[in-house]
Amino acid sequence: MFRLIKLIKFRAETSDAQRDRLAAVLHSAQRALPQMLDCRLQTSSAGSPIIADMVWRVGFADERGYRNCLAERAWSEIADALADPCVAHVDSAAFAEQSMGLGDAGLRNGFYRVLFVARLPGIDGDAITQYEAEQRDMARYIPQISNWGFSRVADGDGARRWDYVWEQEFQDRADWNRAYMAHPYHWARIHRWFDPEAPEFMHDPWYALSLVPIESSLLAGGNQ
Amino acid sequence: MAASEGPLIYFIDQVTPRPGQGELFYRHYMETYVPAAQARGLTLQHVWVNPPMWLEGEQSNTLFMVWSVTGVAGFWGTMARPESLDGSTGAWWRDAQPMIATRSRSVLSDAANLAVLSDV
Repeated sequence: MFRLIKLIKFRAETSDAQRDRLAAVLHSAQRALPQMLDCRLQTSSAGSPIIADMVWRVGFADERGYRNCLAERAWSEIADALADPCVAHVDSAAFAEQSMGLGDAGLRNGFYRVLFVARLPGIDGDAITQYEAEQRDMARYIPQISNWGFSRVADGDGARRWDYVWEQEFQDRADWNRAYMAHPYHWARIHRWFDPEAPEFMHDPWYALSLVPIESSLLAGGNQ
Repeated sequence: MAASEGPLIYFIDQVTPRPGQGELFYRHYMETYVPAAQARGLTLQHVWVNPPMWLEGEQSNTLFMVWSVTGVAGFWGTMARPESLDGSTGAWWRDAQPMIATRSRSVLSDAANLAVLSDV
């Protein structure tokens, strides 16, 4: 499956009506674009300046389907809606799903967290291989990660040309902001790639992320 | 600032300065890095030097700087923030890099604490 995820941040003064108008366009996109095999739109209630307000996650059979979709007339209507002045910023990542784990595909009323990260220039291949392997092992050690996906980005846009998409689903928010953050595999193993003091530091400090409640798993696929 | 609950967590920064620069690196570290790290809530436990004399010429010392924080909240509270990358913390290591041949950072705790730390 090939995926497109857009993280949408509204301007503070954006009205509910403006948000609803964009949501309607994104929700209905699949009707006019047959290349889209599934389409989910989730809204964050975090109210944080660094957390995107909406997550739009779309699936395609393959990258060609995605590219063909971008060339459709109906796509330009989506692009116009996302360029509306009520939208402050959009980060975008398109990628072939690579590493995934569905420990709880039937997850209900959970939380989905998505993170886009970009590498700093000049990171050598061995470090990248080790970093990716350690990321893929996170759910092995941190059982609170119910479902996950970790993929290289083929087509990134926004604040950076993103290199990775990290998607994780949890049963509840505490699994993320307590258990996930408190586990030694996170802070004593993974964090060194993100720590500007560590010699392994490899990430641009600017991330794009969102955290949204979900009725059912996004990673398990399908429409809502 | 570090929270006061939980097992002690240690950092060991192991640094091998370039040949003959051990003492220079040590003084620079103590004068410029240590005060800033202490201000973030880290406690300097030890600075060990191998061998325990300053080498000259083509030979290199290895220094082991042992820091501690209390608990996982303390760990996150004292970590360099990404937004500080353009400030002092990440920049300190980049500025010191000409003095350094190799370095590593390890994060550790006492073996007796492993079960407590993993019980999240």
